[in-house]
Amino acid sequence: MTAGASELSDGAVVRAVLNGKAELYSILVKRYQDTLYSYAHRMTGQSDEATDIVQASFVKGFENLEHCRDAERVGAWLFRINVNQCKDFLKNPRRKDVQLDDATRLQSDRDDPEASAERGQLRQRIAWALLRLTAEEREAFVLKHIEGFSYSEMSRMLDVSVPALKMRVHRARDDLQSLLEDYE
Amino acid sequence: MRDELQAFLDGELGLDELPAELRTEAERWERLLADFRALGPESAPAGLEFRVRRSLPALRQRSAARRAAEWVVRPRSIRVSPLAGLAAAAALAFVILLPRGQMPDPSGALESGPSATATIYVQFMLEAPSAQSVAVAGDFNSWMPELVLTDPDGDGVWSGRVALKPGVHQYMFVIDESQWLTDPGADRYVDDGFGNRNAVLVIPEPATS
Repeated sequence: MTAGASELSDGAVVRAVLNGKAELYSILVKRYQDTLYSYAHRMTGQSDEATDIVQASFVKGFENLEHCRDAERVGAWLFRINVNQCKDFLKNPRRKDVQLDDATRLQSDRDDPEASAERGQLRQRIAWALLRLTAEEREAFVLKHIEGFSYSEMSRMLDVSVPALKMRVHRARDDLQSLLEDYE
Repeated sequence: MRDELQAFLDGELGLDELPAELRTEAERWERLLADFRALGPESAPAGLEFRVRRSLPALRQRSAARRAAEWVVRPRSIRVSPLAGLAAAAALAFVILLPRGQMPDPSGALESGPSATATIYVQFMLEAPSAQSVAVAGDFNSWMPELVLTDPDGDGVWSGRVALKPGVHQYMFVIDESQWLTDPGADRYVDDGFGNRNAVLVIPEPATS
């Protein structure tokens, strides 16, 4: 990548891609792949599935880029596509039940190399508990408490009312409280 | 879970607004949510970007379009004076550095680029008889194809000047607002990181007297 290209704003990259310099789309992939992947991994618990979902999200984003209304917020637009891709994946009745894969376990240890084995196990427990939630509850909980969206932002993103989203988050917390009763 | 605690976790109540018996539980939830946020992974696996590129058919079509553009503007002689000598070298496109003092009418320069004192006027030129428009995009204008070249006599040779600061610049031509073309007449190139090349233009510092 050229130094000049890497400094382009999101809006400038989108306009350049739409004007024919399709290669610059890689700038957006570089900028947002970590954000999209983290979300997909939290929703699926699986590295391979998360990678497939993010790949599909970026492809869909490229093919529909002219429909991105606010080029300067293309990252939020791609995130929304990614959320919907995760939703479609989790709706698929043929998918395997989500479970914690090795990447999550390894990451739990990497986050704090000096953490005790007991601490690592506790963190695995919360990752496991997250995957025990229903897909709707997990989606609402992750968006609210991990990604940091407000209920109104979530409502616009998911096209679901704020009261309905609050209900999902509240149910998620209730379930997590039961699942992690002795977590400290 | 009690409604007051849900309201606290929704950001609708402060910790000091909770009944005393719920505060310990609220603090426990804050620690738990912090642990959720710290759950990995934070980084996409290596190779994801490559996978995305490989799965974008439009990028492959784009490469075909670029090859077609290169065919349309394939090298041929340039019929402009006083540059006929250079045209004999079958240059398709080229850049001429014009020291500021040699510019009889700098007001004709394209309205872009820096206007600081140490500037050099650069003449871009491209023969593209089939083009409806030709522009130059580079790191000096954030890669936006805003430097529009002109072909006033309709002979298919597009040209324009821009004032640039001394240094190393990268650029490409943009034909008909959509097709990006590497200048085949450049002296140097650099990989743009996306499978193509940018032309490199080196503008030396003007000599001081």
